[in-house]
Parts: sequence; structure tokens; C-alpha cells
Amino acid sequence: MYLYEYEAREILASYDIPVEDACLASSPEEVRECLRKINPPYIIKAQVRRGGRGRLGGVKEVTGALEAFEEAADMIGKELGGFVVKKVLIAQKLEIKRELYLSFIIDKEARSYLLLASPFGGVEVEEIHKQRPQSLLKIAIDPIVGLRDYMVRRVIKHLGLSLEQGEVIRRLYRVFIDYGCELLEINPLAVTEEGVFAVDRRMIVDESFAGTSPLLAKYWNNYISELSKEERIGVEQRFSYVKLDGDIGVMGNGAGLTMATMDLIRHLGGKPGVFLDIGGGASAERVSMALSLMLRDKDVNAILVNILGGITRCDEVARGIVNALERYRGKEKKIVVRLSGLNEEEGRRILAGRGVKVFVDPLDAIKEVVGYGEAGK
Amino acid sequence: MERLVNKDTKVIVQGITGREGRLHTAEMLSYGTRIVAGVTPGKGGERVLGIPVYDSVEEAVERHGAEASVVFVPAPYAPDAVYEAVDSGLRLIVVVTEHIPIHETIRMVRYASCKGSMIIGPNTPGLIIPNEVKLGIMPHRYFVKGDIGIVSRSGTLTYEVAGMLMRKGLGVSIAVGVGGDPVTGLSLAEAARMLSEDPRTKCIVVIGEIGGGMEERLAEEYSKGLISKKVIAFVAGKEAPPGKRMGHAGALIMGERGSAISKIKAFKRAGIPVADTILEIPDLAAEALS
Repeated sequence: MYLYEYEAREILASYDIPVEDACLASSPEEVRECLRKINPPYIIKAQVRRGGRGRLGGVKEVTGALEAFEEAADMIGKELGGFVVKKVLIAQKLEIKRELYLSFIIDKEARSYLLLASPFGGVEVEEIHKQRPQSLLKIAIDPIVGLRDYMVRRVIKHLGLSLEQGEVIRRLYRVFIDYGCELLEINPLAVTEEGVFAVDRRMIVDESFAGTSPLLAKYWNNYISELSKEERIGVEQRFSYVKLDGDIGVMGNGAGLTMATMDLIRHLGGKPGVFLDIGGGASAERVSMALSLMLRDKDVNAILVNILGGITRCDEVARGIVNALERYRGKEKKIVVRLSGLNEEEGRRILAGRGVKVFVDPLDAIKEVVGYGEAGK
Repeated sequence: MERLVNKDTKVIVQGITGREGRLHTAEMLSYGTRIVAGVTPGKGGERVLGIPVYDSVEEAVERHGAEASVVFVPAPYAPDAVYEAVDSGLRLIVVVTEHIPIHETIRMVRYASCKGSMIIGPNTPGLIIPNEVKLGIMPHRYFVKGDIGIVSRSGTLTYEVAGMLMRKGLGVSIAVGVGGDPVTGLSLAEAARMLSEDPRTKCIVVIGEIGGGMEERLAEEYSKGLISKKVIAFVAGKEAPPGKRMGHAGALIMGERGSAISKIKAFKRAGIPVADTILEIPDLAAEALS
């Protein structure tokens, strides 16, 4: 789950990490109110669950309140990088002496945490790193040992901070751990006359953790409430539902199998429109729920269901498919099923009764569905 | 590999009284796995399919000399079960459980490696040695005995490939699923190295997918000669949209690693043949064997 920047700001502030004065607005009236509370000059920041806002025009620096109002009011309701801007953060622009970069991330291969620090923060951090690799300090943190003082001393020396200012590094690490972060990135970590401030923050939390942690309950509920009905069912059932640009819906059990199926469809000239991994446990209910999502999707013309189970009962799966088709009677789409597992014969018989073509060989099923798609006509 | 697990290995099932645990215990028993005990805290004294259930792993080790565990415990309690297994001295722990938070996984994997236990998973289908033993949930109907080793990040895709090999008259020596989570205990490269030392295995099929850098790592180790058997590879997800970007940090540490293109390039650079689609895997495997 990608947290909103204002949510991350709130979390950091609760750990006594210095942040700039800011106010959240979701309407022109609220913008006006915010501008009374915050002193100029301003930075107006669109709140969307993604990075790269600056380049998309979602971050504006303005000096006066009038200008700030126009920019902020203009941003609300606009589309930005695939998201509609519902809220803007009106922040006071600090007088920054130096912009630093600091992040914590999980190094999946090394199975450790990684602290990254650079004295050259800002949006060009990747470019600067390419030209001056020495500028980036990487410290591997063993998850059992945690962040130690000597590591903090190395970081503050690299960044040119005082011992006292180093405290912010310890606090950020605590947030990273407590909130189960996959990424906590402060860019820039701003040095001003008054001290160091985390003025832009990016926080991605592990969804397996976010859904169960009381600390994150408020943010998780906010995330869920913004989803469409389809997406919500997906999250609740732990389906992975990804829209693509084609018209063939591909549904399978297991990410690898579903991706490999999709790759084959493309290889044979078809265009996948939806990737839907229903994960483990292909019960009739899960299959029915997942297929319903696909049947509701207006961009999907044809559907391939690829269920490969060892001990999954194919008659169960077939009943799930029939159940979804019953519910969407009249709005049916071309559907091809590949089933392998226990009671295959029975599963095939049930589906044949509903006029659904069932294949045992995945390639035969894929060829059939490619023929039904737009590209195959 | 034989030292790690064979048909005589004494195995316990943690979470044996749950639906999944019970179901797969029956499957493993029928395959010949030597399951000596089950563990579910609070259910000690019960029996499941004739197997005695204990409250703690320690008891199961004391009474039966258990050496390995298969964990079906639900995610909120799974890390505790894994720590218990490590502290009871089990040398192999297969974690089938899905949705364990990544911070939990990273700590328990580190702890296990400090203590000399190997974790396979989480979110793994486990491993199977056809006609001998299986620890996990791999459906044996797709596996016949042979000399091709499989190391994979995907469960159902492994069954698909094993089934395709079977239809071509080829068989499997050992198949290991390392698990579908971003952080796992046994890595793809470590699994390949183990199979490389296994006398029954003549060539290794690597089934990778997009995300992370495990495939690139395997290719690097192959180049260095750490994997001595012939390897062929497949990467799922060529047509998948790129995953979420982990900020600048992700780009700073990963660079291009993680994409299907990066993985395929890494394999080819190392001299590992790459199957364009899964359909090509059996032919490439047959070629590697000849």
C-alpha cells in the first residue's frame, strides 16, 4: 500500500520527526481556510498514491496566497498520472540550505534492510548517483541487529549533520520497522537554520502487514474505501486483478502460471486485457467470485480460465464457473476453460451442459481464446 | 540434497489439525513421507489420521526424533511456529503459509540461518523427490521419476512444466519451489547449487518470474562455475506490466534488475538457454540431457 504523502507526514510527526507546517484541503473552501493557517511562501502538492508528481505538474511553488489558491483549486479534481487528485497539501516552503537524501528499503536478495544516504537530495538523485557513485552511502542493516550507533555516526558524517541531528535517522528507522515499510524515503531531508526537516516523504507498506496492524488500521481503511467494488473484492479475497490494454481476460491459480498463460496468448497474437491470479485454494466460491469480476469488466471480450490443481476438485471449480455464468445470464462473454486436477471428467461434463468448451491441454485452450479476441478476428 | 531430505527423514506437520494441514498430511502420508507427529498448541493428545499431535515441537522432537517440519500454521501465528521449529533444532523447515509480513519473514530467515536451519518458503509448494518423498503440497500426479531437477518461484507453473515433461517421456529427480514471496529462505541460486551436487540430477530447469533479482543472481553464480550441471531457464511475465516502483531507492539499488528482459539477458550472457514460452521447455530439457 502506497500511503499518501500527508499520511506519511502525520506518521512522521507522531514520532517527533520535524516536518514543515502544512494543511490538507479537498475543496476550494478548504484551500482558503488552509491559506489562512499557513504562512507564505507555499508549496502546493497534489496527493496521489504514486511518485514522480513533480514531473507531472503535481507540485507547485508559489509566493502569494492568491496564486496559491488558484494553483490548489485548479489541481483538485484533475487527473495526475492515472489518479484523480482529491486532496492537496498546502505546505509552507522552508528556506532550505541543503537538500539531503535518506531512505530505508528492504534488500530482498541480501535479506537485510538497507539504509541509503546522499548529501545530494532532490529529484535528480538517481542522475547524481550515476555521475558520482561515491555520493551514495549504503549501509546493510541486519534485521536481528538493527540500526546501531556506529551506523548513525557514519551517516551523519557522510551527510554533514551534527550528532544531535542524527536523532532523526533513528526515529525514521523506528517508523520503518513499526509500520512494516517496504520503503521509507525522505527526499529531500532539508537542512535549514532551524534544523533538519523531512519535507517530502514516500512510504510504501507491506499489504500483508497493513491489513492486520492496528497502527495502520486508519490508513488501510482509507485505502480500501477508495477502491472500486471490483478492486475491493480483489483486495479482500487477495486476488490480484491487473488491467492491461487488450481484450482477453486471463484468470488462473498462481501468479507464475497466469503470467506464463498471458505470455503465450501474446505470443500467439492475442491481447490480454486482464490478469487475474486467484491464488491458492481454487474453491467453487473463489472461482465464481473471480469470474464474476471478469464478466463485469466491459473491456473484456473473451475469457480464459486456466486452473491447474493437483488436489483441486475440478467438479467444484466447474460449479463455481456455472454459478458465475448463471448470475450474469445475458451478459455472457466467450469463455474457454482449461481444467486439470481431480474429477476432471465430472468437471467437463458439468461445463459441457452449459455449452462451455473445456480443454485439458493449455495450448488448445489458448489457441481457442485467441481466436475469440479482437486481434484474432 | 540426500543428506537434507530423503524417504527416511522424520517429518512433523505444524498446524496439522487445520483444514489444509490435515488434507496435505494425508497426501504426504500416501506418498510415503515419514510423518511422525503433528503439532498444534492446545491440541496435544489428539490424533490426526493416526498421527499423534503435541502441544510443542520440543515434545515431538523428544519423542520421535523429528528432523524436519512442514508449516501450515496461519500467517499471524506462522513466525512463532517457525522460531519454535528452529529453536527445537529442526534442520529443514518448509513454510507453506501465505501472506506472512515481509519484515517477519526477513527476521525469521536470518535467525534460522544463524542457527543452522534451512527455511524453504514462505508461500512455497515445498519439494518433491518423485517416488520417494514430498514435503509440502505438490500434487504428485504431475511428477514421474527422472533426472531433471526443477527449481522454481511458482507452484502451479512447476506442476505444469513437470506435466509437460511427463508427456514428453521425461521425468523429475527433485523439484523445489522456493516460494512466491519477495523474500524467501532458500533462494533460487542456492536451490540450483544443491541440485547441482545431487547425483540423481543431470540437468536443471529454472522457472523464474519477474521481480527481484534471484534469477540474475543464479545466472551470475552459473558464470562463476558454482553450478556445474547444465541449466535451462524460463521467465514468466514478459507481457506483465512493470511492478510498482520502489521510489528512487528501488532504482538506486536494483538498476535494471527485476524485469523479464534483465533476467533473460542475464541467463543468455551466462550461456544458459532460455525457453521463449513454456512449450519450449521440454525440448530444451531433452537437448540438455542428450
